[in-house]
Amino acid sequence: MILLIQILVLGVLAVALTQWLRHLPYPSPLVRPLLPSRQRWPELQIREWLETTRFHSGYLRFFYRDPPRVLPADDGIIAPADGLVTSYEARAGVRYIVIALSFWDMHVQRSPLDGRVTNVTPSGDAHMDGEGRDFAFLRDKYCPVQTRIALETDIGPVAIRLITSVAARRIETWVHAGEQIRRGQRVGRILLGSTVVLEVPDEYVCTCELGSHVRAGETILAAKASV
Amino acid sequence: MMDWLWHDGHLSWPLFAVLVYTSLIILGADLVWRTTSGSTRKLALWVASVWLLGVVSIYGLAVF
Repeated sequence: MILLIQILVLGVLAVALTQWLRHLPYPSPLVRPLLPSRQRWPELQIREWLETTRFHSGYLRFFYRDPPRVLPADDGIIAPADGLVTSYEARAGVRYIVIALSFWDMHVQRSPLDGRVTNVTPSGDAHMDGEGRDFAFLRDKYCPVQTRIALETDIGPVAIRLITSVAARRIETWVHAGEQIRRGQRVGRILLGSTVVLEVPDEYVCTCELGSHVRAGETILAAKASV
Repeated sequence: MMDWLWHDGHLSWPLFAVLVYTSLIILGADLVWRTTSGSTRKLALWVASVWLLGVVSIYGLAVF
């Protein structure tokens, strides 16, 4: 009886150690649930999956998550995506607020304001599109594939660009031209993509600091500049 | 010598304890390595020291 218990205990530990060795340097399936997302799915492992296009089903479930979001009580332009604010340059009357998404951010995008969709324009699907490559947010990307969702809102024309690379090149949009949409409504999803740019009139300034993390549908991202 | 490996129809308790302890130390060290940002060399040194201390304690308990 004692021997049986010993064998059972050692058997369980042997399985745990085998799993640990098999998955090194990445976390074993036994440890994964205990780790925060960045450690659970290390960047190097995700990049390997990108090359082989064979993703771990657990990571895909994590990536496709679409949690509900609670709109802020304050009026204002809310973030269309989860991620880090990397720039908010203004050009020719338009302010471009760039949000960089990481592999661990939620990838569903939401409308920043109430409005009517005037246009949904995909571009760069096949080859380098050339359009707008003088923008910093496109310069860093190889063959940016993007979809621009233009809205007519109370503050004027606003647009959300969903940008990904030619390697991933998959963008889903869930709204169409002519549709009336609400603030915080889901508008699309970038599959393994990377950047979302919010275009607002340039009298609106970004209320978040560079490098700060914003949440789609929850963080107030821009407000009218006080004179 | 056989007493250290086998005792009364089962693995000797010290050997069993060392095997379980070593496995748990390895798995625990992996978890700590993944969740902390300190130096790996320092962590390895700590783990080796804790492991050695544990094994010596098990040996001590078995002998005395």
